[in-house]
Amino acid sequence: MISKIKFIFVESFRGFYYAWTPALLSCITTGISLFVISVSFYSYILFINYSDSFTNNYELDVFFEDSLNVESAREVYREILLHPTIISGEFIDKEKSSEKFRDYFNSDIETLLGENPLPYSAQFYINETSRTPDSLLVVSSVLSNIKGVSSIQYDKEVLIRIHSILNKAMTAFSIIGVAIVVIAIILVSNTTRLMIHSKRDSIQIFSLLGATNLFIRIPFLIEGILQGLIGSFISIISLLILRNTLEYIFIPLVVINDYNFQLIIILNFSLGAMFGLIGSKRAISKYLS
Amino acid sequence: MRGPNDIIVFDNVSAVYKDGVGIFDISFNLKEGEFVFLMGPTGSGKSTILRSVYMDVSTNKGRILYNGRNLSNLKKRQIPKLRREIGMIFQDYKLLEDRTVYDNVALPLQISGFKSSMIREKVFQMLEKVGIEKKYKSLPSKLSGGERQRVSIARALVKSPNLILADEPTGNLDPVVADEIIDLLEELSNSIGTAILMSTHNFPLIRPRKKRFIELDQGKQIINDI
Repeated sequence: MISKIKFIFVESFRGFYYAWTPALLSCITTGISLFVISVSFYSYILFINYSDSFTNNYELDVFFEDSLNVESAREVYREILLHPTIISGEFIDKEKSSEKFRDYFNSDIETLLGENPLPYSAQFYINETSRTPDSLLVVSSVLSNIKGVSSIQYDKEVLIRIHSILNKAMTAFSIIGVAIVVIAIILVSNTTRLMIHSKRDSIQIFSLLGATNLFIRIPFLIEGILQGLIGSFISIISLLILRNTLEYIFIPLVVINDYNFQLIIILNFSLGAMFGLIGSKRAISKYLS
Repeated sequence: MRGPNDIIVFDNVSAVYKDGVGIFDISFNLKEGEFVFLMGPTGSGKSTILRSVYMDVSTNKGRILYNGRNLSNLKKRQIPKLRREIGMIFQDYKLLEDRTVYDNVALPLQISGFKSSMIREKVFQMLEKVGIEKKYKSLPSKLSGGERQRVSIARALVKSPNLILADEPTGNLDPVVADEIIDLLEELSNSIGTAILMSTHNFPLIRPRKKRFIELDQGKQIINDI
C-alpha cells in the first residue's frame, strides 16, 4: 500500500519533468485567469467601498411641531432614537438652526425677521440594512406618526437614483464575475486536456496493465492541483508587482490595504487549486471509460 | 466442454462491431502451459479474440471461461483485476517512452502494490531471462525493435501469469529477430509453465514449430489443429 501511494505521488510530479511544456502552459493559463479574477475582485471591493461612501450619507431630517418646547422636543428625539433602524442622531435646537441658516444663506434670520421661527429639529442616521429608498419610505412613514413630529425630509429622488445606479452596477459586476470564473474554468480545463491528451498512450497502457481508474486518475488530479497552485503563485507575484507599481505612481489615490491583499492571496490559492482539480477531473474523464 | 487443465475456453463466441465485422461462433480451448497460435490475415479477427479475453471488447454471444470463470459475468470494476492476472504483449510494444526499461518492466508490479525490494529483485530476474539486463537504464527510444519486444515480454512475464496474450508480437520485426522472439516465448513458456495465445499472420514463421494453431478468416474459425 505504501509503495502504491509513493508511486502515485511520484507519478503526480513526473508530468512536470517529462511534459513540462504543456504543464507550464497550464500553469500560465491558470495564472492569467486568476490575475484577471483578482483584478476584477479588487475592483469589486473598491466599488463596494465607494458605494458605501454614498449610502453612508443616508439621513432623515425630522422637524418637530412648533408647539413643543425644548424639553418635549428632546423627549420625542429620544423616542425616535429607540427605533431599530436608527443608529445615531443629532438634536438641533433653535440656536443651531440659526447657525445653519447663517452658514447656508450668509445672513442672520433674527436680523431679517426680528425673531427665530425655525422649529426644533433632528438629523437621524439609518442602519446599513435600511439604506434603501423603500426602507426609508417605511421608516419615515412610521416616524411621522409619532406624536410631536411635524414633518420628515430626505433626498428621496437622489437616493432612488443612486440606489438604482448601484443596483445596476452590482448586477453587472455579478454577471461579469460569474462569466470570468466560468471562462477561466473552461480555459484551464481545455489547457489541462491538452496536457492529458499528450499522455493518452500512457493512460491506455496503464489501463491495459490492470490499473484501476482511480489509480490512473489520482496522479492527474494531484498534478492538476499542483499546477493550479503554481498558477496562483504566478498570479500573486504579478499582482504584487501591479500593486507596488500602482501605489508608486498613484499614491495616495490608490492604497491597497494589507487585509484586502491577504484576502486576494487566499482567493488565488483556493481558486487555483479548485481550477486545477476541476480542469484535470474534466479532462481525464474523457480518456477513462 | 471444459477440461480440468483449461486456462481459456471459447464456447461459440461471437463479438461483432458496429460495422458488422468481428468474430463468429469461435470455439477452442487453451490448456495450462500450452502454446497456441492464432493464424489468419489482417482483419480475420485474431486481435478481437485476444481483446475479448482481456475484456477490451464485449461479446454478443457464447461464453469465454478463464480459469473456470465466465467472463461475461464479470463486472466492469473487476476488469482491472483480470488484466493484472494476464500478461500482454503487443505488436507496437506499448512501452512508456518517458520511462526506462527498468521502470517499464516494474510497472505491473507497482500497479499491484509490490514492495520496492521485491520489485527490484523480480525485474532484474526477468530482464536477465530475456537477455536485456545491461540496458535497464535505457529509454525505449534507444532500443532496437527486437530489444523493445524483449522489454515487452519481460513486462508481461514479470508477475509470472499463467496466461500470456501476444498480439502479433513479431509484426514489426525482421524474420531473424522474429524467430528469436518466438524462441524466447517458447523457452519461457516451457520454463515458467505459462500458457501463450499468440496471434500472427506469418504462417512460414510458425510452420516449423509443430504447435497447435487456430486458423481464422473473416472472423470465422477454419482450422483448430496441428
